[in-house]
Amino acid sequence: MTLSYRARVDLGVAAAVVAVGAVILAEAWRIDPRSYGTVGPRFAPVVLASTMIALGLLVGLGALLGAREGAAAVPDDPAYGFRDVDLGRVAAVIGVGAAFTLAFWAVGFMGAAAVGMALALWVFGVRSPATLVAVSVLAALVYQFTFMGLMGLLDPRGALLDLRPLARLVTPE
Amino acid sequence: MEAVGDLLGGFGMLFGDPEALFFTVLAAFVGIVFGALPGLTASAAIAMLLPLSFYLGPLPALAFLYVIGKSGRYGGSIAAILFNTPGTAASAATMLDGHPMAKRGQPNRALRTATVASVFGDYVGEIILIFGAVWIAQYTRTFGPTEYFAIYAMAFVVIGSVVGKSVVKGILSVLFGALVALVGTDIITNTPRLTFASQELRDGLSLVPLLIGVFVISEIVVQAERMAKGELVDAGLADTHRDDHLSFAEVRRLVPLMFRSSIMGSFIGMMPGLGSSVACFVAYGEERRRAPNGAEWGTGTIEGIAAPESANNAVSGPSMIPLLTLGVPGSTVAAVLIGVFLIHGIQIGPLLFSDSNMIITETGDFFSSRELVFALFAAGLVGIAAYGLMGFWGGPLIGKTIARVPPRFLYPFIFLTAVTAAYSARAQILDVAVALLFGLVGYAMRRTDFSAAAFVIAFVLAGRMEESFRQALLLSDDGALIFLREPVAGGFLLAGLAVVVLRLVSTHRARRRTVGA
Repeated sequence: MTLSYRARVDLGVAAAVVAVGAVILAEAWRIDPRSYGTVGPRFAPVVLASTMIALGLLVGLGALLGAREGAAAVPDDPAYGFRDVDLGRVAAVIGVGAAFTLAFWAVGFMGAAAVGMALALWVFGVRSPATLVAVSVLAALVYQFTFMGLMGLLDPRGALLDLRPLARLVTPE
Repeated sequence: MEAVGDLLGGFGMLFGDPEALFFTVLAAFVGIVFGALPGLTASAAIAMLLPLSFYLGPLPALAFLYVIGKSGRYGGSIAAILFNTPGTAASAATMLDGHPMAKRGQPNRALRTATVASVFGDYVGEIILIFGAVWIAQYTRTFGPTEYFAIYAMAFVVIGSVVGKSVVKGILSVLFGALVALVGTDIITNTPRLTFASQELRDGLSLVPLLIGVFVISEIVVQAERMAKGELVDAGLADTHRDDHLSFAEVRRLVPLMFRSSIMGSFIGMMPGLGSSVACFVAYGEERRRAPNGAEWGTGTIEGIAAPESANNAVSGPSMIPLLTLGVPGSTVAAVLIGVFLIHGIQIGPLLFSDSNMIITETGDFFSSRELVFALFAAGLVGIAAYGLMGFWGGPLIGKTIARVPPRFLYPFIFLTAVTAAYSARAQILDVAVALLFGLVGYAMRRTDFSAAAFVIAFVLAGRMEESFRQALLLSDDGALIFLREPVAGGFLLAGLAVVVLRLVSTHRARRRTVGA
């Protein structure tokens, strides 16, 4: 039995769904079941996670049965699955977000905004150092002013470096 | 007739609140711009701007997000017509005739047809919403937890089974959304659930980072991939324009078609989960079948633009009916509006239409929730006129301006705005990480036929569904049989089951036909 690309992806999806469902079910089982009524706090997570596992198995079964019935002859949808995934780009975008989060923790919002913008511009193909620096600094100032100044969001100090004295030039207290 | 008087009162409340009026008009513009950006949707705009609404009063906040939902749908037609890339899934059918017309030198004619049809459809939908919601709310006011659980359960299975290509994956999307919603502390017993022993997760996950992840971050990943492949937006429009205008006689000729399409869109909009993307293709297909010039459709006819545009915008108003009368969001926009209602301490559902349900704002103003809802309807009507005027006169300019902004600058700005908005909801850095995680989840969902919309709607509804389930069981003398003994509840549960079975049968038949061919 030859499995089509779609069937193979669906088997992978089924495995992921069953695994996630099993982890949630295990965690749900640890919930204190005491309740003030007939149904406790454990009931819904257990039912939902169990149903998730059952449906995950159904997706897997569907992939195998579909393959047996000749669904492999059906042309694959090119947009389905991960054939043309550019893992480097996916990792780059998420990596920029992770760097922003880390910089936020380390040096506070304004520094993180500058770092995040510079990296995002790089990922999207901007290579000129002058443009990278100018746009990032400008963006950091604008975002600091808009979110911390106008919207009055909490501007936490950086755990490693407190840049708030610099930020206060844009958003005075 | 009572509704007409209330609507006039709603206009009075809207025009008496300059902030609400300002945000209504601003929303018309913001929605058009976001909708016109290839790949971005009204949902993405709402996800990023939702934190801003926390700083506004109830009416400006609701009007802002509601009108973005409307104008964003319309904005998608600009991207579809000029760039051959639907800004929203709802505009995919508009592309079939809109882009060929623009390519042959009539972009203004195509855009104006889309504007007129969108405004027409949106007004029809809004009128159906105003009168339909008031009428239905009279009957749903008496519902208790038993009926509500049945309605939520029906909504879960209906949304899960109709929104995507796969019934099972749609329902899995719903289950996943519901499980994510249960992370946190059980409100009845104060017991931590699914927190994996993390203190940070005891407050649960916020809707904003989730929305930003599945709708914005995942789209930015897709755009980054497209840029790497060199898939740039190419308008490919003709340099010379000829007969590039829409006459009044042509608009008059389109009225019956727009009316029929609007009615189709409105009925589709009332059903939870069936959105604009379904309505536009149903209307396009039906009107093409009826049209004497059906063979010309697809080459750039005004009818081929007007039908899908009327239908997809007519969805907007009626998709609010389940929300306002039952507390069940029929669309992602409606799901987000639940959050805004709750932030301002307003319980959604039929009691919204009660005169005795009073709301007091931070500034000390007070009004009934009924007055607020009618002011929201008025904001919807004003918002439609605003985006219609902006689109009719400025649509081509907005489209051309967007085409001139290099994506290498545009998407980094959207990215930074998105991650900052994720933080701003609760001022927690953890929420940025949550947005990134759900960006990856949303990206994987897109590629495997899972439904992000079903996931978000389930996330919003799950807590209420569990609460009504537990309340109903407390009221019951014979356990879960109460759901079958109560006729309304039993009817809803049976209807949900019937939809799933019908959908499974039709999917199975379609699959058999494909394999057989």
